[in-house]
Amino acid sequence: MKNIIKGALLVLFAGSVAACNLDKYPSNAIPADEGFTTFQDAEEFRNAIYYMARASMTDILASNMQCEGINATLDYGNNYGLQYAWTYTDTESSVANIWTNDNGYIREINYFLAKCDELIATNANLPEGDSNKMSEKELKELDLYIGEAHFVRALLRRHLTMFYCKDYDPATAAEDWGIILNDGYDINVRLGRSKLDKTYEAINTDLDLARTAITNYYGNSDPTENYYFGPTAVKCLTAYIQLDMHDYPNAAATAASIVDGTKYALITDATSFASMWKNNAGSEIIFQFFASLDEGAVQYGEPFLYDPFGDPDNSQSLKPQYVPAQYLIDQYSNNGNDAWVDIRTSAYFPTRSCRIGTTAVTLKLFNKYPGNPEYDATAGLNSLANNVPLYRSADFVLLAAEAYYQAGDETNANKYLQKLREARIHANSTSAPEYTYTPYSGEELFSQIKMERLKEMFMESNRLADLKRWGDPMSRLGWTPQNESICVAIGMYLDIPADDYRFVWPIPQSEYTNNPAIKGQLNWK
Amino acid sequence: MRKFVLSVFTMLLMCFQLTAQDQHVTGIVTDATSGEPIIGAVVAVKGTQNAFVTGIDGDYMIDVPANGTLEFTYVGYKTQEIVVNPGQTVINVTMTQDSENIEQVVVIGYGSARSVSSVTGSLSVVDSEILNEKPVMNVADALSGQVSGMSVMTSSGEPSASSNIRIHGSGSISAGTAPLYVIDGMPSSANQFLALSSNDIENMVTLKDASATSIYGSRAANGVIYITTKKGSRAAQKAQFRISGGYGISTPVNNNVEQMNGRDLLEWQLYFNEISRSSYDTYLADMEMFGATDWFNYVYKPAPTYNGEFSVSGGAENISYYISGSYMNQDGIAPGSSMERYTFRTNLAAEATSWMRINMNMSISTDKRKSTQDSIDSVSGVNMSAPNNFATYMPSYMSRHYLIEGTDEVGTYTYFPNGMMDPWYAMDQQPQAGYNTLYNGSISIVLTPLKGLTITSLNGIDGAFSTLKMSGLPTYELSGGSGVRGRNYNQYRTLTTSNTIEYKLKPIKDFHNLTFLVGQEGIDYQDDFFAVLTSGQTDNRLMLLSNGTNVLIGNVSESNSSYNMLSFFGRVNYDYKNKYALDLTIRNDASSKFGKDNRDAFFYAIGGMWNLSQEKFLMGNRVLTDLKLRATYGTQGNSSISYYTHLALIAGGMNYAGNAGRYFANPGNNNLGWEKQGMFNVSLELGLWHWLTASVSYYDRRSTDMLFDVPYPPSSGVTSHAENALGMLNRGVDLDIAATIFQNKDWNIGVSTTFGYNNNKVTYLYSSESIKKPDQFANYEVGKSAWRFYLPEFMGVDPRDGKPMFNDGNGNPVKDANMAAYVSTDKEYIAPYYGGFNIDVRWKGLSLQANFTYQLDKWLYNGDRYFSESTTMLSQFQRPERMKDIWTQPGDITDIPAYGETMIHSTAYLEDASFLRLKNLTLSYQFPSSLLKKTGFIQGIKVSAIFRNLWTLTKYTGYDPEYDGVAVYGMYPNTRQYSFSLEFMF
Repeated sequence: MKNIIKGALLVLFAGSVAACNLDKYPSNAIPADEGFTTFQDAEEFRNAIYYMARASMTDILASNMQCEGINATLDYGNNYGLQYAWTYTDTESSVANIWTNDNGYIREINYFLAKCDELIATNANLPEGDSNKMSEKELKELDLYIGEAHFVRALLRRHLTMFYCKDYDPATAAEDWGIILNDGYDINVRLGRSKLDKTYEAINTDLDLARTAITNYYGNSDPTENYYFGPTAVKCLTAYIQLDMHDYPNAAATAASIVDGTKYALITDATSFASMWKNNAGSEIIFQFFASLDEGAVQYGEPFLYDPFGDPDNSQSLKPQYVPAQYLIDQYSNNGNDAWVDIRTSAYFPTRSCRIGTTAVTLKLFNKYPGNPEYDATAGLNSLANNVPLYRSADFVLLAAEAYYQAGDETNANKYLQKLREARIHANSTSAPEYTYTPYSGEELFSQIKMERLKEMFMESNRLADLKRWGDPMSRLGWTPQNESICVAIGMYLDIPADDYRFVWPIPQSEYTNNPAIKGQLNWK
Repeated sequence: MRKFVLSVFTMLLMCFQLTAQDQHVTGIVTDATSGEPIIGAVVAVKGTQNAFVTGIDGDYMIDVPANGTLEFTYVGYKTQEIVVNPGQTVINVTMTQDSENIEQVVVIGYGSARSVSSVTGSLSVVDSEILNEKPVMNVADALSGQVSGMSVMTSSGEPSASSNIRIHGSGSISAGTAPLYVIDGMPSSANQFLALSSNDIENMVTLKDASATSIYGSRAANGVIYITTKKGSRAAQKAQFRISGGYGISTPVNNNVEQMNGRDLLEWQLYFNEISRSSYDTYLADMEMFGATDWFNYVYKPAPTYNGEFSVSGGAENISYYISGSYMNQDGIAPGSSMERYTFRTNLAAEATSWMRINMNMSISTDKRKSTQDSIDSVSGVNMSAPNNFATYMPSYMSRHYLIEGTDEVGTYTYFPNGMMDPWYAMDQQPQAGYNTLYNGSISIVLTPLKGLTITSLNGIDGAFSTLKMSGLPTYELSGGSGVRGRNYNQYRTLTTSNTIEYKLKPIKDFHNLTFLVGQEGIDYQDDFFAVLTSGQTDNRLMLLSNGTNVLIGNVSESNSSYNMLSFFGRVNYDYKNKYALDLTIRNDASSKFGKDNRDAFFYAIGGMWNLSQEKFLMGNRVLTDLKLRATYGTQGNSSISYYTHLALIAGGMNYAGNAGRYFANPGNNNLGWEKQGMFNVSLELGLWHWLTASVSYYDRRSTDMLFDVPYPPSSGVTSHAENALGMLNRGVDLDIAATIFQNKDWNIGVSTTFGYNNNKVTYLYSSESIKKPDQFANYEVGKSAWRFYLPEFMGVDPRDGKPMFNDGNGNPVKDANMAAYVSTDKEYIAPYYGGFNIDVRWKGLSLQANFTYQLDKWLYNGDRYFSESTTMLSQFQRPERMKDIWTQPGDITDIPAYGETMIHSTAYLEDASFLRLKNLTLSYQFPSSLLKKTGFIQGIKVSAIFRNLWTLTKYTGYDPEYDGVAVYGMYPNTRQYSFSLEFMF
């Protein structure tokens, strides 16, 4: 009997001691107060910031699908359909994603900057010889990382204004709405939108800090890998911001300083040009985020070169969802002058055999993103995955032309337009005459610059933002398709006037439903 | 020895009396009318835990103290009490039927068995007859409509589908809504339902109110379902064998979907330029040559089910056992869907000594499951969309090749637009299967060192190993010649130890009974998961991970998690003469899932019962044979949220240029605490005449500090944050009525009905006036139901231009979809009225049972129509018949807008999904024992025909209204089953 009681009590004690550890932590994360205490932690955060910048800036197709130059085929399956027909609402995911992601990344950068300050402060108090004390080299690198964080924040804030704000007009910038400027990481803060002038002020502040830190670190030369921001990349963003703010003389000068040197020379032969797009490497590329088979590549080519059987290189029955319009292709024909050939046509518009619906048809397809063999998930099968440069010199040649034009300097505007044209257009055989450029003037010059930007940067830069900046309408009227019978009728000849409210994307529903401070500041409602 | 024991017990301040010599009594229990032995009658020594269950011949044996009283109870019979005189060794008893007193004995809420009528809480018992012999893997499906206040919905026809069970509405939004499942005393999970053979279940008791559930503390807010599996009997003279087998066919349930026929569809598409003239001609010619395809019946084909069960139970003086094994193989009606399961169970109860009993319940189930959800490349999308979206004029062959009818010739066919695949081909080329082993085992040691004192230690383990194998074969047309192989591995296990001491005082003054219980419980849970995927396989026969040529770091993942809980609890029961009873329980839980500041939670409950039929003024009343009043109040909690939500975390990931990255992943919430609930319940139970019983109960269930992912504006940096954000109220009424309509020697006809009404309201919101989640059609507003639909209101189509009109928020119709405002409707996705009714007819050996279940005022967003009726998103797809009513010219009055008009999500697709379903219909015949006696060894033969989901009445125009959710996009419809089974007992 004694033993039973003993046994019973033992059992009870054993039971009560079991399951005692009530502090549990996940195995794939670290408590926040332990996760940012050393230089290595800061370095890893910097990698994540680049990741976030890449994720945001490589999302380039949605706004371009809203614009001229492409037609949706019968097989488009409503992919980008809402953008193509301008029927998206404020709940649509691509509209909401850019807002949500960019704001989330900005908060991460705010956290990083605050933690770096803490890190530097505690580091100052550490005794020499402490294993965690940062060396001179590490401190220098930390300054670079802080500068890069400021740069990315400026980049992301401008990215947001491109979509969700009106064009910057110095006369009205103090009344127009900008974005929400959040400098902290407290999730309980509810801010309304700042005005556009304040927004650009903040962007410029970040950009100045970035410029100082980055040029401090690199001097005047760019980093050896073109996937880390260097002084030229900073100049590129500066040029764009100056253009946005109508500071044309400075914009032109900055752009000119980028493209006038021998580095980042424009490519002049068709083979190298096509290779730049296929292999994502070339002299023109100023900055391009890192991509490999494991990270960073995006399947830009899918809507244009889709093969349901997974082998687009060899397929004779491709099913593209979007095909370039005949009117666009004709723009590269130099007004029908057969003696000259544009090296972009062979790279951008090869002829392929397609099958749309049940109809077999031969079409010119858009081939700027032909699929980089290094990113093929399976060797031999093209995954249609590519990288895309953030900044390349042709972009800034055109920017220089546009800025000079707006500044009133038509001579220089023509000079840069000519520089690009002469790089891209050549005699089609050794016996034909070389390309000669005839200067333009007035409105004609501006239209030529604008059309050249479309031809060069098609599906690469944000055309919706370009149209907004120029105050132009989006009109597919007159943009004849290659083959009307295989295209969807909806949106084919869409005509949106320049003052349509939809040129600015709506503030997403998830924002205004939960943020009382933004009431009355919405773009659409 | 005695002195020592005496001193120990004086120390514990407990009185006791050692028993004198016990008498060994045997006997036979028979039915007074027929003389047949009563199998399964409970013979108990009154006032103790000592009980025996009569065996095949109605025989029992029991040790009784001198002058002790034996109590004989059996369902449907009058309880008898017989005092055992000294020297009496054989007591035979005849029992008379009594349909008014259903004295069931149940084991619930820790502690020992109690009869249902003495429990102050409100509970419902569902017997093995309703649960056994059902042609589905998931036993819970048979509970539909059986328990008042409980809604059971099976949202998929997959053989491996489980059911959503809700008791008294839904008490939570972000924490789980499932009740706690306890199997033989061990807390378990809904997964185990798929591992339980339906024939192993003795009964399922649903605990609905605070008095019964509060003792389960933080997991009991949604009610508790206590499952008892069959046990052996120590009094059996010989072992009882049971073998059964069955075969059945599954088909999809009947539905109201009407599709346009092929010719009409082609005309429609041509008219709206979705296809060209030449395509029209081609498809028409194809259709004429090969016929149109009924995609619904092509995807969902009749499929067989086979099952076989074996069990043996019996016992000897010191041991009783129940051992069973079963095999069930159910093929699903859709491609790539099936489940094959083996279960093994051993329930052993041994009397090691007169004061120590050991129970061991072990079960293992191993199954192979194929589900349309688990395939590489989301082929399930093809399965779900084919019946709705594939045009009927599309021939149903694989994309390029087909067999010309009647020959072996292969013809070449131009494949479908948009590369759509034949689902059977797609699933054949993307095989997958999950292999699972689930185990649930417990050992409990019950010590009864002294009379009235029971010390129990229950220790058990519940868990599973699963692995999923998925392949994409290189011969698959869309693979480009390169295969894919993916493997998942997942295991989880819960260790539970629960120790209680129960002391039942000797009746004070013969009428006052007092029982005390104290206990402790600890739970340790761990789970573990990893997955790998490689690609590049080139040969269908070499499809292992290592046969691939390429692996991406993004396709390798691993995760694990764990949580612990430590609890203490206690209970006091008091009852007087079976007339008045009072229960008091308290419990404290501490869990690792919550922030340090909020880790502990305390729960309590109090309940009382007044058995009016024992009062003098009702004693012997002929009309009101039973009248009981119960009232309880108690608190429970809910802690089923993810384990680390309260922590602020930095995670690894977001690598760049091959270098590791890290980022701030979760802001955390130190204040994150339990969801708490207070429940008040009052119920009245009555019996009228001898043939009608009814019970009605009212409940008021208030949840506070409810866990919720409050949506945050993206400008704050996060899109949601877990907080204790709101409070909710569920109030309602449960009603049970059962009546024996007619009874004589040969016939017995009974009906019963269960009914539940639930009303839901949000009582407060912590931080704002309303929390809106438009993407889930939800708007939480104080004073209104949490389950209302919140979406744009469709105001019809303007006959002048065919444009759809939406409410702009002020009642004005607008045609620009961007101006449409979200409005709250009063339609809810959880039905406020639900229940069932049963008809039971018996005539000699034949019996017919029909179980109906219904849900009223249930609304469902038919997401399939959002796509199939859209003229801006899909082209060249199948259209429903009603699309013929599309607006074509000014003056047309219709609710389908003109071609090319955008239809956003709106009330246009919100449908009434109320339904009445004949859930189970069983027709069986039991061979008469007089006939079987001639064989000498066969005790029983039963043949049954069982039909499941035979008939459904609903207005819903989709495939199946029994979908539990807000919106449905592609549902695998429930199955209708016709099966036949044969059972032998010997």
